[in-house]
Amino acid sequence: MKDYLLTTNDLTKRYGHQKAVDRVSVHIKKGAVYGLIGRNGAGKTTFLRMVAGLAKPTGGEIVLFGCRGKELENIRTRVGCLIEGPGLYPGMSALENLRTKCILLGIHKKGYEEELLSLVGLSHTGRKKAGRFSLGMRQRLGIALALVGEPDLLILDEPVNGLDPQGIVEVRETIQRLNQERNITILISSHILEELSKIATDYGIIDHGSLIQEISREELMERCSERIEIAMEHPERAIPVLDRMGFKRYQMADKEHIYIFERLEESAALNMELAKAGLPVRSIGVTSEELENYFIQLVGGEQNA
Amino acid sequence: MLSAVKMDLYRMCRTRSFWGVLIAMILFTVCSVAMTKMDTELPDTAQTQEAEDELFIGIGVTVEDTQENPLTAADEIYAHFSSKLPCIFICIFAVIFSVADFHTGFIKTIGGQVENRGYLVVSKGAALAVFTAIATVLGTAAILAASWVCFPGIRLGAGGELAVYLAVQFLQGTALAWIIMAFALLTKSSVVSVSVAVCLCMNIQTLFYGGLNRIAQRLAGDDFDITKYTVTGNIFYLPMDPAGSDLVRCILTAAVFMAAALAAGTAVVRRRDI
Repeated sequence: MKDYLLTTNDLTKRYGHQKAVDRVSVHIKKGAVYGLIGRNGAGKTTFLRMVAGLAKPTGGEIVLFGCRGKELENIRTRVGCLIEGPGLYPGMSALENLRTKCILLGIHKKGYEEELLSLVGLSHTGRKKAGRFSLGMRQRLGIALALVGEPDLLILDEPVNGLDPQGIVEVRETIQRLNQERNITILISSHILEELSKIATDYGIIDHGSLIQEISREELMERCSERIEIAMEHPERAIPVLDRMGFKRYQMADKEHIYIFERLEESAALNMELAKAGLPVRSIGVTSEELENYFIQLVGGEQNA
Repeated sequence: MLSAVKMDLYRMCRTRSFWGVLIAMILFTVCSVAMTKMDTELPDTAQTQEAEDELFIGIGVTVEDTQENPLTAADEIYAHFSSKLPCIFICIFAVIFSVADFHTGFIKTIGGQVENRGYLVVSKGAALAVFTAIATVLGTAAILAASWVCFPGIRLGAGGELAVYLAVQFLQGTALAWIIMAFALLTKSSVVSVSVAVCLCMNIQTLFYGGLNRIAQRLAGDDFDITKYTVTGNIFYLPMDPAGSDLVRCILTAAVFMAAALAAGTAVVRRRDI
C-alpha cells in the first residue's frame, strides 16, 4: 500500500442513471507511467477528471499521496493535468500563458517559465500567439502548463490525439524525459495502444466505465509475445512432461490451453513427447498476439472494438 | 486568493477584448456626445425633457441646453451614465471575461489545483471591479473631451457632486457586472448572457417590474417602486445631488446584489464539475 502514489477504491461517477465510471480501483506506483486504455466513451476522461479534482465522484474513494477525502484539497497543487486538450488563451504567447498559471500558484522564480518552455521544446516561440500554434505545439504547451508548480503526478488525457507522426514523437519524448529525468509519475490515457505501449510501465484497461484488468508491461508483453500454444484437454497433465524437458516459462492459459514462452523451435519435439506420454494434442504451434487483439479480446470481441 | 486576483488582472490586461471594449466604449461615447450637440440644436429639444423622469425602454441620452440652464460637462456625464451606455460595454466585457477560461479550457488546467474554486469567482469579480473603475474614468474623460470639442466654452459644472455621483455609479456598475458574471457562469452561454445584459441596460425588465409594482403597491402602499431597489433602476434614477437616503439606498441595493451574485457564482463554480 505504501508504494502506491495513487489508488482509487470503487471510484464511481453517475450522470443520472448512467454510470460513466463504475467502481474503478486502480493502483499506481510512484515513478510509473500508467497507461489507461479504453475506447472512446469508455470512461477514461471522467475517471481522470475525478482524480484531477475537476469532477466530484458520486461513490468510492481516491487516495493520493496517502491523503483521502478533504485532505486531498491540501495536495491538489502536486497534481498537474492536461485533460480534453490544452486549455490555452489563444491571444497570449506561450510565455504569457505559463506566467498566468505561475501567478496563480505564487511562483515568482526568475526564468521559470523559460525553463519549462525549453523542457517541452517551445523556447523558440517568442511572442507568437498560442492561437497560431500547431496542434503539436499546443499539446506541448498544455504539458508545460500542467508542469507548473512541479507536480509529482501528471495526468495526461489523450495527449497524442490528432497529432501527426512528428508531433507524436515529440510528445512521447517529452513524456519519457519527464518520467526519467524528473521522476514524475504519469497517468496517461489513450486509445492508441501501439503508442501507449512505447511508454507505459503499467496498464489499466477500462471499458463501459469498468476496469477490466490491471497489468504490468512485463505481464502484457508476456501475454502478447511469441509462444508455443498447445490446445488439449486437461493441459495440467502436460506439466510433468514440460518439467522433464526442462521448460520453465510456461503458463496454463485456460482449461484447454497451455502457453510456453521459450525454446520455440522445439515445438515438434514437445509434440512427440506429449504423444509418447499418451496426451493427445488437438493443435500445437508457434503463435503471437497483437496488443490490439489482446485488448479486443478483453473488451468483448471485435464488434465492440 | 490574492494570487487569483493577480492572475485575473494579468490576463485581463492581455486580452484583446479588454482593449477592444474600452476603445468601442470611448468611440460610442464620443459619438453620443456629438449627437447630443445635434439634439440641442433642434427646436423641439424641450419636449424630450418631459419624459426624462420616466424609465423608458431603450437607450436615450438627453441633455438640456437653455439660457436659464446652460449645458455643463457634468450634465453630459450625468446624461450618459444614467442612460447606461457605459454599462452596456461593462456588461459585454463581464460576459467575455467571465466565461473565457471555460471556453478556452484554461479552467481545466487550474481548476484542480486551487484550494477553493470559489476564489476564482471572487478574483473575476475583483478584476471586473477594476475594469468598471477604468471604464468609469475613461468614459468620463471621453465625455469631457468630446464636450469641450462639441460645445466650445462649456463649463465643468458641479465638480464635487459629480465625484460623489460617479463613485456611486461605479458601485452600481460593478454590481451590474457581477450580476451578469454570475448569470454567465450559471448559464455558461455568452449569447444568452449578453442578451440579458443588453435587455437589462435597455430597461426591458420594466415590463416585469410594472407587474411586480402593482402587487407590491397593494401590500406596501402607493409610494412603493421596486425599480428603486434594483441596480439598473438606481443607475437611472440616481440624481446628480442625491439625498443621504438615496445614497444609502443605492449603496445597500448594490451591496445586496453584489453579495447575492458572488454567492451564486461561487456556489455554481464550486459545485459544478469542470
